[in-house]
Amino acid sequence: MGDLGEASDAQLVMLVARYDEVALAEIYRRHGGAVFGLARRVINNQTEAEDVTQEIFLRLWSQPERFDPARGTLRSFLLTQTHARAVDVIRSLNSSRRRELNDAARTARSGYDVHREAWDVLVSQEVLKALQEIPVEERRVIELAYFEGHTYVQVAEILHVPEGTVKGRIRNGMRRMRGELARQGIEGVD
Amino acid sequence: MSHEEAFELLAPLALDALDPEVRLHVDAHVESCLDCRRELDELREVAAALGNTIESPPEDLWARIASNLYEDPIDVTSLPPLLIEYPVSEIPRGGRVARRARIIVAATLLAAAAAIFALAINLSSESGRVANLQSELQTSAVRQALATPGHRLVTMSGNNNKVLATFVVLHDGTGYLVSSKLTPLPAGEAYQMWGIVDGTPVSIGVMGSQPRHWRARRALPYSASPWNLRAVRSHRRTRWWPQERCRSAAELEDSVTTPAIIRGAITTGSRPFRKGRRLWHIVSFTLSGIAGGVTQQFM
Repeated sequence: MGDLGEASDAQLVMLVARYDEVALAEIYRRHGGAVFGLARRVINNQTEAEDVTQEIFLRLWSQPERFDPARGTLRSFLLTQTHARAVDVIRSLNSSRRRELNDAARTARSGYDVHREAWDVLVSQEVLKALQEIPVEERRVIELAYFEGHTYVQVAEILHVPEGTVKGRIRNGMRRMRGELARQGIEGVD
Repeated sequence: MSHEEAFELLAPLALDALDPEVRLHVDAHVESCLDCRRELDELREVAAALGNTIESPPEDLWARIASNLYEDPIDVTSLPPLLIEYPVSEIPRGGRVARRARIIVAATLLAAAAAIFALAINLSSESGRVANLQSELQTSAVRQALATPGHRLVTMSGNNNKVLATFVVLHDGTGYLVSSKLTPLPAGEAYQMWGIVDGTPVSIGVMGSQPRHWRARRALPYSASPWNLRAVRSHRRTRWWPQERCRSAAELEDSVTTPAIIRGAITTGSRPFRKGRRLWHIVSFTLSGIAGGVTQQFM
């Protein structure tokens, strides 16, 4: 393989399994910004987000076989891991520290519509378009769960609605989004 | 958890919005249900689309990651562990034990006091919990594994049947290195553990150049027929992926630069015996000497 820039993500992961650092660097070049962006979005803290990013890439380095190209793109594999780790981080913070981070993040984005803020950083126009097709109450529960790291049970408490309702909204919202993305020909992020 | 219940929770799972206990149940179902796995994969793609933002990471972040690639990612503050063997002849009666079986008592060297604690599996309670060593062992994963009822210890020996590494294997096949006396390798080389399953080598993971804390990448056999385990030195930074290339044990032997450093086998069955007021657990295993000569240079 002459030029790593031409290699597919799956080929790069194969090279990583052979301890090819340059291949890992190329993966970082392609996906490092997305991993860091999501970690920072969820945790609202630069240092913690850097730590998560580092952890995600070191994990790929030491356990490349966990990525299965048949189950999705490398980007979504990395983002899935990033999100899970970021959520672990914020859930491990005590509640006052967590509030502090959230407040700081809100201040930094003052002027944004709270219900829309989560979506504004999205880079994909297609994803934005898909989101617009989703009823606002479904978007809201997904946002609280995904971007603020609440469990669906906590979301129900926050919104004062039954747990079953939240579960249903998440499910419907996700399915609607999937349908929209598929309609636009997007099957996965890369 | 029923299929319907689990299926309903896949969307919250894809958003990491389940409580840990519930998540365990859903994960367990998904593991065995192809439909749920497919659905979850698709939902995760949707979640990833939501999280697909781009920011510029700090400029020095990659340098920091790169500098950590060859370091042991887990706690390395502990001192090298110490292994103590008790020869078979000292085993009090208590049932037939394979001739070459030994009791392996792994001990760790305490950082400050250099006090040695015997690791024994006290079977006086039915759970077989480890009595003494919990606070001395450095990693909680290993500690937990040793405290898990029904765990097995596996030892691997090198020249002169000297035990060089001890592993703990749980019911589900999870395996951890408990202690190691493997000689540190030069930079650029690492120990790699292989299992020979029905004559086919299966990579169980690379343990690094100075193995201390390590988790097997693949499930180890807990009660099935024994796997032969062996550790070899493999070179890092080569265009070599033995897992792909070796289709037989002989081919593995031919494709590495060094012979097996240590060998051992997981065997089933273990017998308790009484010593003093305690019931001890005998871990039986087969020992074999280090493998024969260096074979050919690999590509």
